[in-house]
Amino acid sequence: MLTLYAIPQSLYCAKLRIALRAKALDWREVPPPGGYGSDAYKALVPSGNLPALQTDGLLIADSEAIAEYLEETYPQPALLPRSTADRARMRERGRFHDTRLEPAVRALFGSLKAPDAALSAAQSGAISQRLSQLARMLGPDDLAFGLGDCGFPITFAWIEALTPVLGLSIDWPAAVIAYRARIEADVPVAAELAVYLPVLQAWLAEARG
Amino acid sequence: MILYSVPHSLYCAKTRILLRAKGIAWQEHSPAEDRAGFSAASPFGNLPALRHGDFTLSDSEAIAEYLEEAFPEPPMLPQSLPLRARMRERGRFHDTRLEPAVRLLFPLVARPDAATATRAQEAVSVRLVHLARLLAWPLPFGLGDCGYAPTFLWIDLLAEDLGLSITWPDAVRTWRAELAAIPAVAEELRAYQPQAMAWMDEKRALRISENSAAGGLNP
Repeated sequence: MLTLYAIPQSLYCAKLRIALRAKALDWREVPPPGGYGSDAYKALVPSGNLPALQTDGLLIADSEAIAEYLEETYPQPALLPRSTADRARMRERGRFHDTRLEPAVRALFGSLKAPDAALSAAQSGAISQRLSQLARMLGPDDLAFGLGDCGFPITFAWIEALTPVLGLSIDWPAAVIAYRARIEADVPVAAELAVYLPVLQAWLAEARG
Repeated sequence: MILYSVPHSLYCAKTRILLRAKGIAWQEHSPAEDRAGFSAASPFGNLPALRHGDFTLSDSEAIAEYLEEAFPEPPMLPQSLPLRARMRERGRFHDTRLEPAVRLLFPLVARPDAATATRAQEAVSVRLVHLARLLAWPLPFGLGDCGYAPTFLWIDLLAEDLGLSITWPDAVRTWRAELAAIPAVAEELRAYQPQAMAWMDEKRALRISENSAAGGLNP
């Protein structure tokens, strides 16, 4: 049995659960002992990172390191393509999510209590730019669902939820809309969204105060 | 093999350490001078970017995994699955925790700000303590190590310039010395250090001219 250290609203925990569901793995989910950022948790995971995965005496933090570990340990069904070039494209896609798109969305979370029109406008521009770059990177969108896709449905859901709340104006390229529909139809993604969307809405309502 | 890079980029230095460790020959192109090539290699303007034959790719981690698969020798990931996971965790800790803490210091070279400097100095010291604990699992030199030597260099340069006091745990000091003795790392540091120092000089010059300009500092 795998043990996942996670908190309900965490985007990267949801991303990892999509990979776990896609691999048809069973896991037990526990909160970090003492809460996120606690000394008790840092005694287990030095960086305090969430999610972290405990398995057979191994405790690994970081959603990408965990995803690669799952792919190597449970190769079927494969979540990386076969060819070296396509595997690289899949990883590039995942990194684009983690280092480019998601940070542009994350920059808005601090403004939920007191929406800041200038910040909302700036991040609308930044997010729209990232979505347009994603459209270019997808190219013919010819890779089967894989590791690099797992973060996108969650971040797309956040963009959509934040749009009315913060008055965002987001330009969704047609290629991204089609990509989103394709991955959301994937069973593990649909299953995770069914669990995660109510958590997202509840967290958002509380954060707005 | 073409690497799109700019001279002071830390993540380009990270990728060159891997290229050197693999014994791969590469040409370096500047994005400013080869705009079309760079735009094709990196649709979103990300550095470093790579062209290998017809194949193009950007992002230092995606590039690292690609080079490991396309040029398996010498291996830069351990054989056992738990150790591979540890190696990747180490690399991600660099990219998502340590380096972002150091990055907060870069703007301060041109525009000193004591409060930000104090916060960043603490954040870097805390991350070095976390790193010391990650190092408790010994691993052979590999993919996850390539970013650290350039980042350690920057910590030294920034600490000296900004008058910071960074606490280096003994385990990190020892490991840093071991890293620096690895030929691929030593070669890259020899090439990269003058570039990093030139960047510092450039930003320091901006600081002086701002201070001396009529009307004082910009906000």
